[in-house]
Amino acid sequence: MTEERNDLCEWAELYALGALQDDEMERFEVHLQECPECEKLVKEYRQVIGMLPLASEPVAPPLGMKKRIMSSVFQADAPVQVERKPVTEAPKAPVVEREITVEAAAPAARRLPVWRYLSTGLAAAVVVLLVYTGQLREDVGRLKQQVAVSTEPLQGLKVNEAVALSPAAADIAAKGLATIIADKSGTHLVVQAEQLPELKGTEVYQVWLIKGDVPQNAGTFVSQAGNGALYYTFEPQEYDTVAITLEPDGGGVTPRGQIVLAAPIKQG
Amino acid sequence: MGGLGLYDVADDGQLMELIRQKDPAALEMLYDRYEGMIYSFAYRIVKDSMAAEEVMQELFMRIWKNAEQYDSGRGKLSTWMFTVTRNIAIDQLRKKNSGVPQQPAGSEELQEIRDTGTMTEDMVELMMVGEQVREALQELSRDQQQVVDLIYYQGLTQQEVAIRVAVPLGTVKSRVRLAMKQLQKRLIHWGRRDHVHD
Repeated sequence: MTEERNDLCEWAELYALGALQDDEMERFEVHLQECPECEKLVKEYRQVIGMLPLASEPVAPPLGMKKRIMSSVFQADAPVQVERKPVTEAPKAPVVEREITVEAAAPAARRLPVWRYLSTGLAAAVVVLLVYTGQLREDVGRLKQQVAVSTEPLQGLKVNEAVALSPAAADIAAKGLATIIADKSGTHLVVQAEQLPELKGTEVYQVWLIKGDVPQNAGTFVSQAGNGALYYTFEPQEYDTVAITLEPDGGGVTPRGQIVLAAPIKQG
Repeated sequence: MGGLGLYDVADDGQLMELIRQKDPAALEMLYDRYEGMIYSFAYRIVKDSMAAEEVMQELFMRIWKNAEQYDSGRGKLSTWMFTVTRNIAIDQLRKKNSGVPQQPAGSEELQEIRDTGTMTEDMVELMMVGEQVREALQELSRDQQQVVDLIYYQGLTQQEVAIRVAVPLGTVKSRVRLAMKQLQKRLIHWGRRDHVHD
């Protein structure tokens, strides 16, 4: 028993650093509960290990990463967010929270005067037009409707999948992201790519949704300063790969050029 | 315009409280604070910019969805985020490297350090600590650096290290032990600074 205990005590460093296998870890955790020395040691080691990430050489994050990450996080959660907003949960530190909540409303408040100005302007315009003719009034009504439709926020947008596109060859530095989004109007593919090789002459980039070895044309785009993006709406259907090829021109119905970026996807 | 936002002076614990209430601006603030450090750490493990971005995305997805899993009474937010980041990154490495048997990258249990202080102090402190840790790692012998790298940054178990380096298991154990003892001696003072009860 004592020998076994001593043996286990020798695992403290391995445990803290994460070098034990699952079964060994379980055994050591049982031992930890009855060995205060190991418990103390592991706690100290953990503090030290908790500092190791800070030693990483600084690497500049990729361009646009924050935007991509924030939009996918918020989109994935959009319906829940709408539902939860009005709920005020019992705050732990009410003073601070209340202060910050006021601040949180600030961006919306900042936008408000513009809207107030706009709607006041519109209302005034309607009044003036009313004086002139009924026909003009109808037109304004129609216009107002259109404004309302075009400024209505997107609702029920759901990100079904977001995959990082990987270069198809070692000498390609390009990278990209393919996102599949569903809403009331259908299923959409959004492809963004950066650091794409420069196009020559009539060349274009073409996006494909592939099932097995059958490619479906999802459209072409022309890159600018290595950046390009494409939006494509399609019938929900099973695809297994999304790929970007470099094509001699925009008229191809099957891929003729090299694959630049590609990624496996689960669904269409 | 509210440019001097309270977000800027909110400490990590307060930000997490707002994130729990689904405040998007709080998540962005947290992201801005830690983007550089976490991305650099993820990159250190996966060694690929797209893969590191995927790790970041998964981390912030988890923070947004499961903010309640973080308990500020039990540990520093940065430590927790680093632990989760390492787990995601190591899992990703293992998935790619099918030859290595699957095992979860480790528990996300928090250290018993209270989350205190404001962000500015925290960030300055973290940067200072980073420099100390870099030096401490460089002072390890090459063999010791190698085992720390294989275990901590590549997620190998002691058995896998023994095979990879072609040394007996006992040698792996003693190298890890010496490395940890030396790091602890060199760095424990910096770790202690986080304690408020000591």
